[in-house]
Formats: sequence, C-alpha cells, structure tokens
Amino acid sequence: MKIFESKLWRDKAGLAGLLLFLIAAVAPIVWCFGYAIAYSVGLAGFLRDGFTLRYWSKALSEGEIARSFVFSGAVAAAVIVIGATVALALVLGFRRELRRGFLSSLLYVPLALSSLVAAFLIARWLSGAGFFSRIACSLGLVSDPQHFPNLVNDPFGIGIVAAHLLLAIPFFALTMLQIYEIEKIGDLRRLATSLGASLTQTRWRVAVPILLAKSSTNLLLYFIFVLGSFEIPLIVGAQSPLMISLLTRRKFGIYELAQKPEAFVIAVFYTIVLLFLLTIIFRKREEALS
Amino acid sequence: MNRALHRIPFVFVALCCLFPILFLVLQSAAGRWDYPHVLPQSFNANSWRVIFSAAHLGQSLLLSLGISSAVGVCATAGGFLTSKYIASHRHRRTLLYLAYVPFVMSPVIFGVCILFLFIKLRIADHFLGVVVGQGIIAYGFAIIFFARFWNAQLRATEDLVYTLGGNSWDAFRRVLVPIARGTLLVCFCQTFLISWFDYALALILGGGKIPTLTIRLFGFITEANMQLAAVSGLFLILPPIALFWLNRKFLLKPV
Amino acid sequence: MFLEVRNLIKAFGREPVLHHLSLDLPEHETLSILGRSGCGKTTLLKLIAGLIDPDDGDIRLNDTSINHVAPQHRNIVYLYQESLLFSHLNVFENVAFGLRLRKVPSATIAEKTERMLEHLGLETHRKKRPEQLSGGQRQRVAFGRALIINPTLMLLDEPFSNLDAEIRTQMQELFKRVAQEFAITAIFVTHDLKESLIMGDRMAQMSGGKLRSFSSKEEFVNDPETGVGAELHFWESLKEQHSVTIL
Repeated sequence: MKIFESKLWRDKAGLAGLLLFLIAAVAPIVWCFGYAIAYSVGLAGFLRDGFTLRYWSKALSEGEIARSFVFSGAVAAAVIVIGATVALALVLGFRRELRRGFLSSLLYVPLALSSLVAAFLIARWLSGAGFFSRIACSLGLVSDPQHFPNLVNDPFGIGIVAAHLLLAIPFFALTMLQIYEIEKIGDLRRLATSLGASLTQTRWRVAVPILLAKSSTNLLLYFIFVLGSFEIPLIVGAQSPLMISLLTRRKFGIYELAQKPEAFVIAVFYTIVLLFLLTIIFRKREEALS
Repeated sequence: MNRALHRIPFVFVALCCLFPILFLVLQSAAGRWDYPHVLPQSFNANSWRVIFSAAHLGQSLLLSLGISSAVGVCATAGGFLTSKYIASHRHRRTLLYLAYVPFVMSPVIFGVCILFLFIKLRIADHFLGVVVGQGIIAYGFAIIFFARFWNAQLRATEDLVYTLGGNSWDAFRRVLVPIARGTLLVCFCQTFLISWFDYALALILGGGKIPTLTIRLFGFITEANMQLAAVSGLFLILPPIALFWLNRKFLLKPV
Repeated sequence: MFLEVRNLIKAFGREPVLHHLSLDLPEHETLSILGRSGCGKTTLLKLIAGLIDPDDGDIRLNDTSINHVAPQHRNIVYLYQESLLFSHLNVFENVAFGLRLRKVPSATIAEKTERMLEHLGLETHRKKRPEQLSGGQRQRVAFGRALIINPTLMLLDEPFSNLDAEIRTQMQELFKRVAQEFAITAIFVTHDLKESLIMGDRMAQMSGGKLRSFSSKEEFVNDPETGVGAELHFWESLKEQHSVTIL
C-alpha cells in the first residue's frame, strides 16, 4: 500500500500559499495598523511615555485632520463624478469608433502616464505661465500670467482634480467599453427599442444605469486611490488644505517630534475609512454575484 | 462636409490622447520658451545629450528596471500560488478582502507605518526595502488579479491530471502554468507598472538613497529643469506604452 | 470482487450526500448508475477516484483498501461531462499526456499514441488544437487519453450529456466497442434511462445518497421505481392513441 502522498503534497502547496499570504499580505497590514495605533497613543516611537490620548484629542480638536479628510473626499468625489460622466459620454457617443481602429488603441496611451507625469503636465499646462495661458494670451484673453485663472496649487484642488482626470477618464472609458460588450448592452437596447423605447430612452433607461451599476465597484476603488494619492497633490496641490497622504508625510517628516504621533492618528483614521469603503465594495460584489 | 464635421470629435479625442506625449517631446527639445510664446522659440537636444552622456539617468533607468522586474516576477509568482489556495478556501471572501487592503492602501501611509519594521530588519534605505515594500502592494494586486482565473473548470482539469497519474508539481508545470501563460504575462506587466510608477514608497522606504526614475523625475521638477523632467517623463512612459500595446486585449476587465 | 465499496458516508458541512453506500463491481464489467442531478453520483465517483475523502467507509480494489492511496497512484481515471482537453496541447499530445507523465520513452509514446488515434478514428486530426474539434471528437480524444494508460477502472460522469442525439449514439457505440476490446472495468453514471440500459452490464439506481443494485437488467426494467415501466407505458399509450386516430 502506497503512502497517501497526494493530499499532503497538495496541502504543502496550499500551506506555502497560506504562509506567503500571512507573511506578505496579512502581517504587514496588521503591523501597520497595530504600530499606528500604538504610536498614536504613546506606546511606540520616539516619544513613547505610556498610554495617552493627548495626540488624539489634539488632532480632533485642531480640525486640520478633519479638513484634510473632507478635502480629500471632495477631490476624490469630483474626480469620480466628472470622470464617470465624461467616460459615459465618450462610450455612448463614440462606442463604435472606440472599439475598433486607431482610436481604440490611442485610448490606452494616457494609461501609460504615471501620476508624476500627469501632475507635471497639468502644472505645465494650467499654471499662470503655462501652455493654455499662452494660448489665452495669443487670443487676447489675458495679458500676463497673473490674469490667468489660478488653476494649479489652488485651494480648491482644481489642479489635483485635472491631473487625476487625465488618468481617470481613459481608464473609466475603457472599463465601460468592456462592460458594454460583456453585458450585451447593445442587444438590450435593441430589445428595449422593440418594446417601444426611443433612442434616448434606451440610453438613459438601459445603457447608463447598467454601465454605472457594473462599474460602481471600480469607481469606488478609484475613489479610494484618489483619496490616498500623493504625487499629484505634491506637485499641483496647495499648501493648505493638504490631502491625507501629504498631511501624513508632513507630520511624519517634520522635525517637531510631538507632531509625529499625529501622523499615525491620521493613519488609523484612514485605515478605518479604507476598511469601511472596502466592506461596501465587497457587499456590492456579493449582491452582483448573487 | 457632414462627414468632415462628424470626424471633428474623433480628431479631438485622438488629439487629447496624443497631446501628453507630444507635449513631453516638445518640452524635452525646447530651448528658449518665454512667455507668451505658444511654441518654443528655439529647439535643442541638450537635455537628450545630457541624458545619454551623464551616468545618473541611465543608472536610474536600469535601477528602476531591476526593481520593477523583481517586483513583477515575485508578485506574479506569489499571487498565482496564493490565489489558487484562496480560490478553494471556505473563507475565500474574507481572504480576498484582506488581499485588497495592501493594494488599495495609500503608499505613503503604508510606508510611514512599516518604516520602523524595515529599519529593524535593516532593509530601509536599501534597494531591498523598496522591492519588498512595492512587492507587498503588487502581491495584493496579483492575488486579486488571479482570483477569477481559478474557476471550477480549472479545478476539474487539475483533478484530471491527478487521475491520469500526475502529482501536484506535474499539474502545475505541465498544465496550469502553460494554460495561464498569457494571464501570467499580463499580471507581470501590471505588477511591473505598479512598481515602475511608484514614487512614495521609493521615497519613504528608500530614504531618497535609491534613485529610481520617479525620484529623478521629481528632482528635475522641483529644480524647475523642465527639459530634463520631460525627458525623464518620456523614459517613464515609453515602456508602459509598449506593454499596454502588447497586452491590450487582456486589460481592464471589470473588477 | 474487483471493486468493493462498503458503507460509504460523505457530508459537505451539514448536508449529507452519501448514506452508507455500498456497491460491488466485478472486473471487465460496466456498472451503470442511474440517478437524477444532485443525488450524489459525482460525489461517489470522486470518492472512488480519491479526489475527495470519505467521512467513513471503505473502498477496496482487488481486495486492497485504497482509502489512503493518492489519486495518481490508484490508476483510476475520471472522465467528466466536459472533455477537459488541455487547450495548450494538440490532439496527439493530449492523448500522449499520461504516457509523458510516466516518462515512457518517446518512441513508445509515438507508437502507442498513433495506434490509439487510429483506433478512435482521429489520425487525421493529430495536429489540431481542441478548439478545432467537434464535441464528439473532443470526447474521443478524452477517451484516448484515458485508455492509453490502461486504467484499472474508468469512471464516466455523464460524458455524453453535452452532445447532440446523433453524436451521443455514436459515442455510446464507441464506448461499448472500446470497453469490449480493452476489457475495461467502468462505472458509468447518467440521468438518462435509455443510456443507462445501453451502457451497463450491471445496473444500479441512486437516489438521496443511497444506491440500489440490481442483480440483472430484467430486475431493473421490472422495478417500478426505475421509471422503465412508466416510460414503456407512455409510448404504448401514444401508440394506442395513434392507432385510434388512424381508425
């Protein structure tokens, strides 16, 4: 009788997969969250002097962190809403052309832009002395850089939103194009037409709801990415308000040691928000699959 | 006339897609470019000569290629193996949720929180620290990427190999990996790009001592050296364009 | 007895699937098991193949318990509903797969595979990829891949259910011929009454995780629960109605 090897071997491979997962995925996150909590309550770090909630009460009372979260959320929401709207318009208006031919390949080009390059381009295009300001000047709309609207390093995050849109619109458009094919929206629209719907009705009652519903998890994930973005607000963002990642980096990197724990207060808050948003995403996925 | 008018939107969209690249090329060759001139007043190849003659950008390019390749290979292999385990697990949903966390987390917050551990492990301010840090994020992505790959048919195919006399290694080597070849390549490209585009982790975990292409690019931007920044930008985006072109039919499946 | 299964019990979570299931199968015979979807047929086959473990019970092959023998060492081949051909290999390599696993010399592989392809009428398709084949051709390749390694036992899990009626009949005839030529011992599972009668030398019916074996086909046909009687009654009634209409 041969020894039963298969299950053991299969378990070995499974064991390797599990160990790798625990070491390379779970442990780092548990460490990050645990260390952040410990640092933020004075149990770790340079200033560890025992459990204290003073960093938390300082962070909550000052309002800078709350403003940063609100600002980051607003920027992320603006990117998602504007990006999804433009992407929808592109997909519904130029779907056939985007599916084949030269245009279908061109849409991938902006995906190759990194956040740093996108931020650099927006800074070169939208700043006071930027490319569009020069065009405006040549058209007689402005006479010097100061008269051009402040679109970069501005307090409303216009430059940040613009840079993110440079990346988000092609991404959303390509995702929605795929959804259009997979969900057979074309067939559904033809079916709706046979039931008496006009072209506009098939667009607004069939195509748009399905596209938005099926891309909602992707949109939520992108929201999370924008929320935690660093490179773009670093180059085209203002000094205040700062987005979450920038504020964390500033407080962590600052010489005043007393501010370091506040960086970890932000990290804990951010992680809680992240887990909450991920839970929503997973619930949506479960609903979609059931 | 109508056809010409009908083409205007396509031309506009095409220009929008190409404009970033065209502008980078223009900027990289721009000599004097005073306000309010729309186009540069003069062109030169100074920055290109500097790039190719000076060792530092070439070195950064090779360093970035090395780091991203290492991250791509390790994350893809690890993600492939782990996702197979997760796919057949009772608590698949929970494990997949956990895999999402490192992938979607802000790299800055992740870097700030894990830096102390990396210092203790003596991999901070080191090439290895950057690879491990980026690898953790890319590994999470790879698990998610392969989650849909492991379907019932693949499991049945693997079982079939066992009944034909093969063991687990045979199933991997002779069947699963060959079937997954295209998918593995796409995952490698995507994880390569996660590392290639990263700036935050290279900055925090590398301590500024690991001069990746993104670190160099940021340096040129802050020095207001627009020509060199544009050249670095082109170096940064040309490999991804090539990879996207090769893998376009596999990309962007909805989550 | 060549294959003996005794008091097999299997549950998935709280859901019991097999209840003290027992069966016997002599060598070189085909046992046909008739059962509806969800009655536990696939679970039974997977247990015999070693792909899952029983909660209790014993499986014996040639008087030796194989409960703790790995699937790759049982020499029991499991054929699915889908042909599950390896998409990265052509027909020749698909059939030769099991021999390559056993590190058989290349010359022997070439000879045996060519012979098997001729036997199954696939010699002109040797270089084709699976996606270039019809459903029936794919199942024939799956057969060839299983037969070439001389399996001790073949387990067929509704292998023809995805085929259209004409191809299905051809495949049934092919299996009967091959079973005789290669003296195969097999368990053939189906939900199709007619197919179960055609394919089996011995008959059994599975329901609610339990198996009822019949000593002969006559016993199977005459048993009211197998459905043969109802089927015959239906066709006879139709014939009578038809006769009345003609009159």
